[in-house]
Amino acid sequence: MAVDAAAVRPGATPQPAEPLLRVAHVTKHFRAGVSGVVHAVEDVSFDIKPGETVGLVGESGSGKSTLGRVITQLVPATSGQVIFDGVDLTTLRGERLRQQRRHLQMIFQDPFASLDPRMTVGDIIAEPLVNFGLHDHKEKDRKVQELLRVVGLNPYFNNRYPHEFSGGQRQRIGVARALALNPKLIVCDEPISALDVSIQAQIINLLEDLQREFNLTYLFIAHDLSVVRHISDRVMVMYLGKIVEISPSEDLYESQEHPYTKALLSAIPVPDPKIESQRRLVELSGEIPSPLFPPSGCNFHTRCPIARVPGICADEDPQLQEKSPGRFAKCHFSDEVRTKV
Amino acid sequence: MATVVTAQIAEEDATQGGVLVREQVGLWRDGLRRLRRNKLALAGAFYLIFIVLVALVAFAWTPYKPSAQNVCPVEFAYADGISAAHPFGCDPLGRDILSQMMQGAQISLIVGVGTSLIVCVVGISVGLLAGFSRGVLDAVISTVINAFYGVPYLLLSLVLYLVLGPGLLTIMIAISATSWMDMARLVRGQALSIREREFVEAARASGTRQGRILFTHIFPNALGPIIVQATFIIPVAILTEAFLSFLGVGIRPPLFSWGAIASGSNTGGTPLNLLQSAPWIVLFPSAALSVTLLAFNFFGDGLRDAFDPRQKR
Repeated sequence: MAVDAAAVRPGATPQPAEPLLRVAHVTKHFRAGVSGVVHAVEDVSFDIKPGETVGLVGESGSGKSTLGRVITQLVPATSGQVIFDGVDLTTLRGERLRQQRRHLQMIFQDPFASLDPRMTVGDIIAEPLVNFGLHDHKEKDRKVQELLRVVGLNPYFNNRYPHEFSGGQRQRIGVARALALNPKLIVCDEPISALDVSIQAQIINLLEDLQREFNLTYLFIAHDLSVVRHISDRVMVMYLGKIVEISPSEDLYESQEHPYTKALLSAIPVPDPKIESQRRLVELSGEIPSPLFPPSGCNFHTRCPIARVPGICADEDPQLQEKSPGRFAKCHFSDEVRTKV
Repeated sequence: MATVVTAQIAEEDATQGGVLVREQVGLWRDGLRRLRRNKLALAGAFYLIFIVLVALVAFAWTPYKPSAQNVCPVEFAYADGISAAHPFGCDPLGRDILSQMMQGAQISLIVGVGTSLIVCVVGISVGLLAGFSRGVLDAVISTVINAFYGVPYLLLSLVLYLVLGPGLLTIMIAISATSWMDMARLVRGQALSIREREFVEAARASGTRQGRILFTHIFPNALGPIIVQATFIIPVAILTEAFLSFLGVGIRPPLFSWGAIASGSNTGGTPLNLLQSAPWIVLFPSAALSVTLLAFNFFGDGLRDAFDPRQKR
């Protein structure tokens, strides 16, 4: 397996400037009812470099899963480009798109729903291989058992059914399926949020080990910043369909450029009760607005503690700007985040 | 958090020191286990096995030739009816009812299973096509399905009887033509809901072709409800056949079906005066029909419960 990976992908070739994935002005609208439009993803742009892990966080309904599905072309983008490995996936259809999927795999959120209950584990893991031309039974069995071993499962589990496994084991099966084709990029759509906390750590560690071993690139979607902190090189924070902050993960936890990020971070409890009782919480009022009717201007202004309403925040949508080297935020008053929030 | 647990998990299932290849305990076996616990369904199944055996035996042997006349004296048939030599009695032409009913079992099963097969082929194909393609094709197919619900089945049966002539195939076509829609609707609904499940999305993400998704993911996952529905079509078809034969537009001599025997249409009498003068001619075939329908329904109910994933007993 390791040999295969090295042969397929020249991981050592240094091309740091070239992003593996470039998402450019991607918008996804869903029609709702007769005239309603859900603004699930709104003009999102970012790059992912080879070998990098980029975290994508946001609360439920922020559009992060939709963005993941647009990138993997499970749902078509309304507009914008998804340039993966130099090819714009949004222009591909049918067989040509299918051929690109080989390099772009996905791990799903719910390990109970993402495995076909009528198929054996072996068939599930072998499916991507079969899709791209591996039909020899012995070779298939060998590959499947190797993949099972790689994700830390008993290789002789291959003729069992998914319902015989625990959630954590099932997610390992999902990981094995995603690995089968030696992809370049894996979109992990909340791969651990359906698991127990103890199992979460195991899966995170597994993903990290695999990244080192196979030189993988991850887009790691989660709604929990503390999990993302552990695994990501960079973190993107999403709110109501827009990316509000992009930052290297070590910096993000020190200081924030966007009030929403600050609020998210402040929601993580500190294990030390002394610090916990003294620290100042940033509490947001209200619920996330409906993506059917996103607020005017900066779409965070309805819940923002430093918004100028009425004023620029309600009138003008700020751009995602580089506030300091490598750190981007979409806020008119990001200077004030450190002091006033 | 930092410990690498990869290696430990492999040992989790007590597999140290050897190869553990466990037998497959699939969902089918699980369903069968639950079916076995259902007494009524089991009784139904045993009765159906008995009927199948009777039908098979009838191919090789019946006490008398079903259409042979005067195997018992005519006056005896009406006066005393049942005897050891003719446990279900005789009809006015001196033919043995038991022999006729054994052949009737064949007819019922052939019509029931044959109709169910036709309905499955048509209903599953149409349903999968509609549910998987969605869009315009789905709308067209759904309209056709609804239109077929408006066709009165008795009228269609009579028309087919006139066009195709009497016979087993005519009856099966007539019944299928008026009962495939339920199957098509069921399969369409299943396909529509299964295609949105996450494992189908996962299959697409890993580059699975449309056709393979349809046949390896959607169809197998719809199979449980399909089998149940197919089981319920059998008694409906048997009843409809009996009814048509009773009316005289179904099975005709020299073949006998339970409905035909009970109607007395082979004897020249009407059911009403038969019921007075020779009740066994009406009662025995009717009883066989009723019990068979009941057995199929119990068995079908049992199957439905067994394959209902929400029921874990």
